[in-house]
Amino acid sequence: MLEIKNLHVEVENKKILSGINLHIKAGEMHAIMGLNGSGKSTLSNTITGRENYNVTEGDILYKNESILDWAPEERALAGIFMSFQYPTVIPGVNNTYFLRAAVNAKRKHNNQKEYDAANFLKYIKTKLSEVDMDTKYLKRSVNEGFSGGEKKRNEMLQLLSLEPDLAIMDETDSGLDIDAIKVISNGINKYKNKERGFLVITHYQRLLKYIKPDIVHVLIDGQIVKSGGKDLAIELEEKGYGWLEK
Amino acid sequence: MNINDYKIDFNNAINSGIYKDKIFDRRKKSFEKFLKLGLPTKKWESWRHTKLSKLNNLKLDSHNQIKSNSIGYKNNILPIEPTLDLVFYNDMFRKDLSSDLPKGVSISDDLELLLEDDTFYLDAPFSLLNSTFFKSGINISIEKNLILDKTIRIIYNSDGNDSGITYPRVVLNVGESASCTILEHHINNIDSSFQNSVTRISIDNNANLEHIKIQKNLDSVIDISTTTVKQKKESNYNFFQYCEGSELGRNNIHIIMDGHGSNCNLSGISLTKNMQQLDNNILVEHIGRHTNSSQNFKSILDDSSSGVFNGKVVIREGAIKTDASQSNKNIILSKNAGMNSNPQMEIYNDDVKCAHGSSTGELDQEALFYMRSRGLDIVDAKSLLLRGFIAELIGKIKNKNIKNYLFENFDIWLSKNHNA
Repeated sequence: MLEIKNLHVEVENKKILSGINLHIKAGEMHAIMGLNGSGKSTLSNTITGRENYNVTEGDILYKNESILDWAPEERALAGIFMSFQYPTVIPGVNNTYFLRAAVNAKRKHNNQKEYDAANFLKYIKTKLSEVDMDTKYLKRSVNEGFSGGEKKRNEMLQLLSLEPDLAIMDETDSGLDIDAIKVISNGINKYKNKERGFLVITHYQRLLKYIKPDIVHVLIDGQIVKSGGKDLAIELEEKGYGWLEK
Repeated sequence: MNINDYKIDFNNAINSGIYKDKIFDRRKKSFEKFLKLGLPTKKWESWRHTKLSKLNNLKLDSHNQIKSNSIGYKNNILPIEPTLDLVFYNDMFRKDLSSDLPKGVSISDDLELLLEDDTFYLDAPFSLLNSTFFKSGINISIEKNLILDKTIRIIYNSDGNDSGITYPRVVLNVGESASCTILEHHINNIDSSFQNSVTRISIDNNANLEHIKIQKNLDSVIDISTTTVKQKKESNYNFFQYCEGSELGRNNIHIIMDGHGSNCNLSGISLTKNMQQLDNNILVEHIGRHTNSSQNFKSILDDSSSGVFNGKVVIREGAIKTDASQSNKNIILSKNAGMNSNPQMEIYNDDVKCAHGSSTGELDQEALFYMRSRGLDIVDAKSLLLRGFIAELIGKIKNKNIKNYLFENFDIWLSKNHNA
């Protein structure tokens, strides 16, 4: 599903990623672990197509096509989704209105009939209950006045509504209490199936208590220095990252 | 129009016998005051950023140029219903085109009544020119205790080929404990004409006025309007304006909060493109104690357009326990557009709460990326962001018809835009 080949990325002329190789097959969940500044977020932002993340070498293939020239919206419509580490607050834009616009953009892209307001409300209410959210969040502006946990639930709500094939969870667990982590993990576990791929980016091992990645990678200084099974995460928890550094 | 042009105008009027009316002496006095004051120059603080050349280059006659008839007047181009309409058409108040008013609302077009309380206000030169040259106007009185459900809409419409200057004048008195909504709808359609309007409002004790102004003049119109509001004790005044027309549009708003416990909220949206300039010059004077005021003005500027926000709050000595805030936020869509924002506060006592802020910048790139990462294309994402920016203010309008009308207008404005 996602194939990253020898990816080199610069941000503001500073080299952040130096030759990443990663292959996520449908049905697989990969976790990338690493310290702050190791390049985890650069990787997720590059896959999603954020401006000013310059790929200087290598390629990203999604469903066997290079997506480097694709706009962020083209990647999204093709089924790539990123749950933001810091979801953006958009004052004045109603959350339902935004969600409906996004879901309808996707439906239109897939030649499906767009939802009217009433049908969308029915649709979104089924998703809300899955992330333990109240309908009051629909009436507010996007992420405005949301607590850290509410923002991440709202990201999860978007994921469940947009039904991506590849979901990138960027530091989804940061700033969450244990109840919220459980809700988010349940969402991820329910959503995971053999057609969908997950890339979970995390600093800590604690999220990995609730979700079970198939492969764990360790990112240090823009390179994957070690890959392994979920035991690697436990080892990292015990030993830290020091033993992997050059 | 320079001073000499106005002099010629005035003398022509005298010679042609137009000014045989009973207010001639007062017209003359106003004109003399105007001559003493002169026309604004760049040296006048509140005119520093205004494109005066647009005004100076205008050569127009104040008299008889615009023929007043009703042929061009079409009420159906203003789809806000239901309203009680009062119509200015080609510079004349037209009772025949206006609605019948309910009990408790009275109007008069007596010129003397319109000049009552014609004190020296903000932006005096243009007010004085209006007092000198105005031909027609309406004095509206809302009886005390009247709660008026229907909106009174004042339509400022002109049409035809005869370019000129119009001087509409409105006086509104809201009686004690009365409550009403006034909608000003400016749709002047004469190419290169100039509207210099004056609106004087007084709100009696405990009364409540919702005032909405929609300015959708033709893009080549120049529009200078001066609105003065006097608030007595415990009165409420909510003002909102939506401006997207005119080549040069300048709103002078002066609020005098005499009465203790009075409240005023002023807000507005200006949308500009091409070479347009829309200015807001606001002065809120807190005189009575326990008075609250807020200002919240926003602009979206495209192409080579520009805007000015001069917002000033003056808190007098006796105005203790005053709470005043000012906010001006602007989004620039093109690198050639520009905004001059100047919020100011002058405070003469210590027992007050004040806040002000101003920001001007491009669309939030983070928010744009966030939306695009959810599948919205860049045009839709920008539209949604800009709509969100103005929705904060339009969303507060209580009258659903007006609210929907403005959202529709905004969407149309956006769809015609180059960089949005």
